This record gives sequence, C-alpha cells and structure tokens, in this order.
Amino acid sequence: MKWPSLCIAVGFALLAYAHYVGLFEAPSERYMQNVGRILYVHVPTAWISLLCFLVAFIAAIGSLWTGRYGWDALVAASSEVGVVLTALLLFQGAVWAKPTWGTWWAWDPRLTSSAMMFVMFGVVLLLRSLISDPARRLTLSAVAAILAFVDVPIVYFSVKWWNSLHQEWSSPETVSQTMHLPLRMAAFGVLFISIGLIAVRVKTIRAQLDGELQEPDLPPEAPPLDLDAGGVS
Amino acid sequence: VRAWIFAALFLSSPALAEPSGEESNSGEVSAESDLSIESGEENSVRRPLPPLSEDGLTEAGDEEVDATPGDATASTNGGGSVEADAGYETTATGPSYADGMAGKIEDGRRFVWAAYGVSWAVLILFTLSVIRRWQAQEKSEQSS
Repeated sequence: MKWPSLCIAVGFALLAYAHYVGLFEAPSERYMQNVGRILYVHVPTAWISLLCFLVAFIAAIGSLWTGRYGWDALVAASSEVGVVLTALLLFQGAVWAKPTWGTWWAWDPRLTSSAMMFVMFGVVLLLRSLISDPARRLTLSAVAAILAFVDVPIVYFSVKWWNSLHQEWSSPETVSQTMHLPLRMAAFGVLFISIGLIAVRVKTIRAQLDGELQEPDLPPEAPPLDLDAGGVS
Repeated sequence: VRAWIFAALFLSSPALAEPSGEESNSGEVSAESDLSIESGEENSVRRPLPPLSEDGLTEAGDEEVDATPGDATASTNGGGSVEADAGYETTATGPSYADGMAGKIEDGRRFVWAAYGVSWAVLILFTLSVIRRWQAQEKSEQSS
C-alpha cells in the first residue's frame, strides 16, 4: 500500500499546483475569458478517463484469455475509476457549455457518446455487483467491458466523423504555450491519482475474490434436486 | 382574413428574430466587447482590423485597437472560438462585433469555481472511499 498512497499524494500535489497555475497565473482565454480555465480540469479528466477504459479493455481481454482473477480485478478497478472520471467529465463539460454554448447539454455526437460510455461502463460495474459466482462474473464483466469499449473510439473520433458542436482535437501547435504547463501538470496529476486508486482497488477486489473463492460455505456446484422429497435435498 | 392571419403569424415568428446566441447566453455572454488586457506586456503597436464584410461577420474596422505581442492571452482552437493566431490580444473602445455576434464571455468565475470545487470534492471523496474500503477489507481479513 505504500507506493499507491505515494502515487495518490504526488498526484494531488501535481493537480493542486496545476490548478493554482490554471486559476491564478495563466492568462484568460481570448474569447472564453475565465471560463476557459475549466479546460485545465476538463481536458485532463477526459484524457485519463479514456485511458482507464483502455486499461479495462486490455484487462478484459487478459481475463478472458487467461481466466486469472488478477485481470478481473483490474477490469473492475479501472472501470470504476473511469466511470467516476467520466461522471466528472460530463459535469465539467456541462458547466463549461452553459456560458459558452448557452445550454447545459446538447445532443452533440461527442457529448452523447461520452454519456453512453458512462452508462455502458456503469453497466459493467452493475453486472459485477449482481453476479455472485466469481467465474461467471469474470466472463460476463469482461465481455461487457469489451462491448463497452467499442464506444471509446467513437468518443475520440466523434469530432472528426460528425459535424460536432464540440471543438476538434487540440494539439500543442493549436494551443497557446501558456496553457501547456497547467494542462500537462493536471494530466499527470489525474494520471498519478488514477494509477494509485486503481492499484488500491485491485488489491481490495483481489482480497475479496480470494475470500469468495476460499469460502467453505459455497458448494462447488448446485445441489441436485430431490423430487421425491419435493425440494432441494 | 386568412392572408392577414398568415401575415401576422409570419411576422411574429421567432425565425424572424435576430439570429444570435445572445438570448440563450444572456447573463453570461455580452455582445458588447469590453476587450480588456488582463496580463502581458503592452506596447503601442496598432493593428487595423479587417473591414466589416457584407454579411456582418467580420469585426468592425472603426475602432481603436492596441496590440500586445507575445502570449498575453491564451487561446484554443475550439469551443466555438476561432483558431489562435499571432498571440496578442486587443483593447477596443467601441463595439467590436457586428450586431448579433457574441463577444467575450464575462463573469464566468462562478462556473470555474463550480467546476473546480466539485471536481476536487469528488476526487477527495472517492479517494477516501477507496482507502476506507481497503481498510475495511484488511480488518475483515485480520478478524478472520
């Protein structure tokens, strides 16, 4: 637990510094003015949430391929962190959109696909909480995570594929240099926090799984039905 | 009578209202541009704005503009705004946009604080929840 705690602490420190620079030192955006400062928290959240779902996808393939519960724990942990970040992402986007677009929400391709991503990975977590059999849970949550990941490239490319209200991809060339430091620092901050949180969650879920697998009360298979006695023998 | 009713409905149609995003942005977006410099090094270089085009979409050319070279104002290529150009910002004394064009967003601090505040609160609460769940799991392992 030492290195994940350190990772989380470093992440929060980086995020605090990045947000201080973003809020008080970086100049306001030319057209969005102060509202542009929301990008220092919104954009890194978006990057890292997509990264979390990529990790969940790779772990889902690993768990289906090997059947090992370590991969299964990683699917659950990275999906959970990704869902929390996506919820934040949608909130930050809405708060940014109100003064900029004049509405909290628009059924724009990027926004809609992001909301779908949130719901689909939420379903992965819901499935996990509903299934008690660890082997069945491993298979079904891995399949659900792979299916949910189909939406991630759609989220990423939506601004290219469709005529989206959302801005297109930015790159260091299209963004003022004064925005680079707070954006990158915040991205590393959220990344470190996410790595730490995923590591702690993997350990917790792994311990829970070990407990479930060693539980003596659980029968290895369903008991046979005794039809003469009119119930379960 | 039908013709008069039709004409009255047509004239009162919202489609004839001024095409702008100002109505929905009222309170947050000002059509009047108060293009003030917030930071950066000022100098006296003056740069004429392009003349107003027929469609009224380009900036008015009859205003006084101060240009500040360097990275005085950060800019992105999106959010409904235009792509970054030379990296200067302007100061104008008069209206810099034609009627119906939204200018800069003013008074957006409350949105910024809301986004940052909620993000920090959620991240801290989620971190505490993760750590507490880990501690609970460790305790249950020790007790068993």
